[in-house]
Amino acid sequence: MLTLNTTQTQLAIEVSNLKKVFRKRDGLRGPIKEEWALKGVSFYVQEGETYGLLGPNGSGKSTLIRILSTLLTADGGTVRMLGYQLPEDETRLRRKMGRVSVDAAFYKKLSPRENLLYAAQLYGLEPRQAEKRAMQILEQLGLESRRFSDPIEEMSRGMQQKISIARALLINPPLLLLDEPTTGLDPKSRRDVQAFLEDLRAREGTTILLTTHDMAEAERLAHRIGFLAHGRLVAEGTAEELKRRAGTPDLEEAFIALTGEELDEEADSL
Amino acid sequence: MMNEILIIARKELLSVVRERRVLFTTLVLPIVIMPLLMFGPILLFGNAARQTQESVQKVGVVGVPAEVLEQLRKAKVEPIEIANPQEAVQNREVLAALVFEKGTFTIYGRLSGGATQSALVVEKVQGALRAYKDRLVTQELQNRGIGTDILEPFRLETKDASREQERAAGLFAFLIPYFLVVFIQTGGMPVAVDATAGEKEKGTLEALLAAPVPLVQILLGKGLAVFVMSLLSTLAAITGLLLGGGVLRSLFATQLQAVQNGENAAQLGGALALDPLGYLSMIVTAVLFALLVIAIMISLGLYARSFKEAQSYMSPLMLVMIIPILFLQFSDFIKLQDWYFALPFVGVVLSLDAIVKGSATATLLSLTWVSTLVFAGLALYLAYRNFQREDVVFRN
Repeated sequence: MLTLNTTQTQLAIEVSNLKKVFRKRDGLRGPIKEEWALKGVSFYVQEGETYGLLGPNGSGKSTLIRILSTLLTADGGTVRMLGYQLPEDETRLRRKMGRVSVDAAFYKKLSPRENLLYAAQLYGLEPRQAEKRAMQILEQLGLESRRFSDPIEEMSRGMQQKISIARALLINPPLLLLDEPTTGLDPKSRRDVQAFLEDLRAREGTTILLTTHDMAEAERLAHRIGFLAHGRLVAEGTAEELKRRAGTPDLEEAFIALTGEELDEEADSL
Repeated sequence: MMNEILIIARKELLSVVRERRVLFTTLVLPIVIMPLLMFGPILLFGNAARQTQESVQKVGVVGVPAEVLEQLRKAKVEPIEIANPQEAVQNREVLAALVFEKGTFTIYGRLSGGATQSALVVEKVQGALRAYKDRLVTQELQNRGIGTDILEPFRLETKDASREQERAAGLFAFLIPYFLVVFIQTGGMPVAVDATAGEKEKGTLEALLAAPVPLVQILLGKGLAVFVMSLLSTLAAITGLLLGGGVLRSLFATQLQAVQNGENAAQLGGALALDPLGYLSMIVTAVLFALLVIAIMISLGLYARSFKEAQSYMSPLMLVMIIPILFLQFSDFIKLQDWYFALPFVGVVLSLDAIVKGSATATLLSLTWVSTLVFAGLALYLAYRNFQREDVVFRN
């Protein structure tokens, strides 16, 4: 079982009563429909902790990650990360956060080198230093350095996701937001990424917020896990605590028992 | 601030450079295609017309006197007897037909649909009949002891009083505004789409927006890249027009002269005769217009969810811009009011036309420049507002 060094008591993420609504007009002149993606979510993540968020499609995982990565503005509640308040301190916070999304989005005609250097420059990093760090990370993730200048469109999904992780880590962030980073990867790439994240946490003490569909991954990586369903955090605790509370031998059954929902493998849409 | 703008613009341009097809269609194709587009049809039509003049064509005749038949042969047409002139022309058995009935010559030809071979043959027949008529009149006057001077009591001359710039520009007077407008949009469109809806579709926009760069700098960086491509594409088109036009004019000087019946080749244009202030005015107008178009394209691109949607929004923009150019052809028949120069698109087209023809005034140009700058600012602000809106950026 994963345990966290309890001497680290500082909170890296504090989310309180977080709400988000999406409004859409029904047709050209119809009434405006409201869809609540988050209905008052509260949780915290300690420094150096890995917190896993599990939830089916439409549970609000991606919305939550987007709010924390300053892409969306909450309609209610408060978010405090690394001592900064959102949305007031968003520019300062962006310099301290890395984010990996499920779809490994890149400029596909450019090489990993060009993509990473572009990201590094946007974060104000010196190109040579950024290139050196990117190479180190990619080698740790098992990417051959000779492919560093090939167009990304010629690379596998697994390779692209590894480059995506390298991009998020270029600034050596104390906080990492991972939105289903291993979805769609082959087993080898999945293991590589998971091992890398464990190593990163051990070396750098990085705080990680991880959303995933993979129960085994959540158990392996997360100190604590939150079950998200219909925009609410239904249950929270260590994997053992959740299983015990649900009275089930494995995490997936605990999820079904506590949320009344089933997880699926599709990407989250909300 | 400038550094981030340049970083973003550089990346956008690098993406274009990697897309060889886009690079080819925006930068190489205009250089190759512009001279052909400008001079190709003229040369082709000119040669065909000359060949029609020089070769002999069949003309159907009904009841035409022998003397006229002889005159037709002299005019290089071969008369053949036919039964139904209208049908013969319609079925293309002959290119034209001539009927003489009750003292009237009637010529049949296919005259609809612009420049046809039949129309040229009709002109030949008309020429032959005019010559025949002149001969009859001259003969009759001589029989009565009257000189032919009576037919021409005075001489009639027409002189082109248009400005030197307008004469030199020739066809350019209409085409330069057209090509500037077209290439500013078509050159910038691939980058505008890729940098906005393209980023949304690829998912890269989220990573960019999560970076510690203010929105306004992201917007300006993208705008700068679109601006550079728009201007490069326009420059390529003008280079193609001027250099290619020059090469074609020297290679086909005889043919071009023949097309114009031996008149000065400058009539066809391709020789902008602007003073440095004229060129500067044209550049300022084009740059301001590019700013307006770019801001509109980025705004539309941001609103679109995908490449296809962005293209479908931007294509009608071209039509909107071309409408004033079409009206420009008839600008001589419209009494231009000063405020027309302050209208979006219309003002730019009118100003470019006036610059090319050498009739632009400082007041009217200022009106266009200030109004275009204001419209560009408004469009840019709209793009910025779109960028700020979650329901636009995350519209899917």
